[in-house]
Amino acid sequence: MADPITETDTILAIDLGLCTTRATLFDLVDGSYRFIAIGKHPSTFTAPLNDPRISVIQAIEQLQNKTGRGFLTSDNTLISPSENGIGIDCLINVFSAGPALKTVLVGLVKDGSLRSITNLSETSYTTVIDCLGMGDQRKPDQWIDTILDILPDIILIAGGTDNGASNSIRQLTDYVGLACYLIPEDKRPSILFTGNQSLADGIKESFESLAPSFRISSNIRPFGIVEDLQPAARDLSDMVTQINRTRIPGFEELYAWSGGNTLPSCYAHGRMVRFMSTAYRSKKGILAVDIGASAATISAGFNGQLTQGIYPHLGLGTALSNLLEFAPLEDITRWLTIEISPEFIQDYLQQKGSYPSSIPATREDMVIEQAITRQALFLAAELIKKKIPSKIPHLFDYALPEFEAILVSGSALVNAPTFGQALLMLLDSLQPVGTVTFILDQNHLLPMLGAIADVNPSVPVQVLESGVFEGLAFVVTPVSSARQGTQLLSGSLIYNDGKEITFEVDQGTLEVLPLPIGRSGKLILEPRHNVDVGFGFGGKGEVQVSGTYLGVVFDARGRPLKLPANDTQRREMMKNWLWALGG
Amino acid sequence: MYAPLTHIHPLTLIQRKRYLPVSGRILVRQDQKVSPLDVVAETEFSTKHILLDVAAQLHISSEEADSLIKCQVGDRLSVNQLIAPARGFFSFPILSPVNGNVILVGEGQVLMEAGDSKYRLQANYPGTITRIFQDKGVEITAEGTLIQGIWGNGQVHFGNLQSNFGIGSSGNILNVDHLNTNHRGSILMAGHCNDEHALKKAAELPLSGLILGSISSGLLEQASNLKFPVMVTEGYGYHPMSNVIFELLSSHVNKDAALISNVFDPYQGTRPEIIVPLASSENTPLAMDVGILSEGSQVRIILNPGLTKAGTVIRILPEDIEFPSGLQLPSAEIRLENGKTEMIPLMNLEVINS
Repeated sequence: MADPITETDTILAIDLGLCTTRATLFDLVDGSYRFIAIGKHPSTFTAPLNDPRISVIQAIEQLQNKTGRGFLTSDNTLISPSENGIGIDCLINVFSAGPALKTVLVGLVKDGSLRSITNLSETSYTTVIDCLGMGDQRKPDQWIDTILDILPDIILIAGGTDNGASNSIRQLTDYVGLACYLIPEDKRPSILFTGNQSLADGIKESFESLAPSFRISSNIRPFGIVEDLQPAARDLSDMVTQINRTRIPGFEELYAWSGGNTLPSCYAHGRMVRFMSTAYRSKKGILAVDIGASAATISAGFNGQLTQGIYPHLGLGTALSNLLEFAPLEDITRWLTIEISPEFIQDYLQQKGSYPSSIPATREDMVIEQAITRQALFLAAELIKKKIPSKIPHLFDYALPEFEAILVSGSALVNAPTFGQALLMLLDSLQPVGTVTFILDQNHLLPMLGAIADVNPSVPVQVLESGVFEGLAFVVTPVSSARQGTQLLSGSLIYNDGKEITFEVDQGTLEVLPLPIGRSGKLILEPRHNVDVGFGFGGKGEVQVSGTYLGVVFDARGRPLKLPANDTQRREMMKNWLWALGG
Repeated sequence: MYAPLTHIHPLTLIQRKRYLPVSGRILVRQDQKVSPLDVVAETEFSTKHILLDVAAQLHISSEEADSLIKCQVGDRLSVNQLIAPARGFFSFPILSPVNGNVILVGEGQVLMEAGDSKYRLQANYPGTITRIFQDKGVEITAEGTLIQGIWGNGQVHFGNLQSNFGIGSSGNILNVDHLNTNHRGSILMAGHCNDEHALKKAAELPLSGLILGSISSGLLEQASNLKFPVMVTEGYGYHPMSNVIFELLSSHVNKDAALISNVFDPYQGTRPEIIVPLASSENTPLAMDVGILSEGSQVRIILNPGLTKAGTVIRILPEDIEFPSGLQLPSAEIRLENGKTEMIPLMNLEVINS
């Protein structure tokens, strides 16, 4: 980590995505940090330019045009420090672009260190190619050959409790060491050891001369059943940055511009969610979902504890060519609102995978894009559900826990043609329960703020307090096993100006009460005895609600959401739901 | 604005770098002429090893095992050659299970490299060696027609270019009946393939290569596993081969061509490509890898509407326009090959460098 910078009045944050590069300005306004403006440009990571610096310069130039302020000299050198409104004091980078790292996992047992090391790998942009463990039927020489075949970018090793038995993990690391020895020097993988700490010195001695980058992190399973990923996740995030510095042309210069303040977007995303889960002082958690071209990222924070899943295979970019390996075509077509042939969808996935930056312009392509987004986010939510600790209270075992807020980013969601389409994608895929506010992060600020916290922790706090995000909807989900059409809930919304509207919600419906941005009110919820809106079955309650783009939405379609098997009926139903949210 | 780029050139200089996966030996010299299947460099890199735990097999300490091991690092062992003698009545001698080289001995174990560990780097391109990167690889410069595609199966071959098109038709569909023994060993071009039997017959002949305008996505796995190169020029689903590619390839029927069917990788910039070597000329321009979208640019549409159609940018619109998808996007007016004009989002255009 770079030395903290104290003089950070004017902060430029660069977000290097696979499709879009953003240059965002944060500055002091009346003594408090504010989001000022953003410049964007299509990213130049990929061929033919293969140089992220080009889109960074273009995005900064757009920011200059928008703000009328200068940040670059005529030869594209950063002006720093700032003086009289020209230049910047600090630059930070976050990045999600770049192919996911080819990763090999090494651990002892499947339900112990191997599961934890898998969880660790899912905190960053990695693609696990193979797992080696004690239960593996392969012989040691086959393990060695496997590593030589893969030529991984990184090997993550875990196993053993601190000061516990060490023979097995020592043996595994010997085989990994042998494989590294056989790999030519310029192709050797980085190594992160996060197992029994009593072995650390010996392992360091073995690997330091064998790996271009070697780190020992604290044990992710120090006491057997206890899993502590955070220190290792930070080390992994640093190693991902380090590897990209050497393999992506131009990345090193951007890293230097930031004085080392460069983080993977997903790590910074998680950091902000962890912080917000503490700051909100709610019994419920905070969830943030970001579905981009590089990966689907889900971060769930519960009172300072973070659970995170980064899924490059569910990204909406190059991974689409292989999406059908993880999602049968029927699971995608179930979300279509119009009839489209399976072959057309397969062709679309291939085409979009080849050109991740292309944008749906026809109605059919948009319907497919939104079906893919739903399914990718649905799968990511299913994966994160399994990782959330069981001690976190759940309203229903089959659903995600209740959240105070769900922050949303990713072009397919925040740039959906209508807010109704965005919300319906989120409700269909995440299927929240209880009450929750969906919040749009339209400028992808969350990871940038997470990275800025390294250099000035007060910036994210002040920017969040300034109301930089807009609410999409406040959603109430009455859950009941009652038959379709049965009344589940009644109540009233009392606006701050004293006006009141009453409502009734029936099973199977999606209803909206207007509460625009700028207004607020008190929502009184009176569910029937067999209905739970987050206060227990039959529990009544009042909630203060702030205005959002869509207002208050009641999703009484049932949990888990069941779709009609008949294609025509299902498509009609989905169209009706969309109409209920304004089309 | 920068945009994705594809090359379609009747005559150009093509420079391609070829690298060993790990450092090794360069086998060619500067200015040497090479053909696609020539080996230009080689290295030793085995991914097949045998680890013999002598101590464990003889139930003795590793120190004792080390004293019994008869081979040394660098030894070439034949199958069944003695590695360590038996110890006592209840053990058997340790013999080499394979022909191979001993690469490590110690701690009671022997690590052998089995079989041939040589990796040979093919030229892939027909041309001249114009640069040598010591121990790492070479640059080859070719001259001729260059056409890039959108999908490739990772294979490379060289052969005589044959057409499977009806006269004047760029959208014919390849089927079993179109394939016969006259096509054996040739690189065949066709409009579209949606028939697994046609691909199977192509493999049985076999062809030296197959260039398709488009392919059904359902056949990609089968095409990936073919032993000869397959390249798709336009896209997935039924799309005729673009006129410019069709006419260019048609003009080279019966000439030799190299089909380098690289897997399309947007990060690396590798794309499948076909090269038809042509006589060299002094002023042949180099195919430049920069795609700038501006008025007059030749473009191809990479997502609907108009997917795979080629045209020319008439103007870049000053304001975003709304599309049937509901999105408002920066766009350009494109004159298509058939003379019609279409508004297309800028992000859905690929520049054709020709």
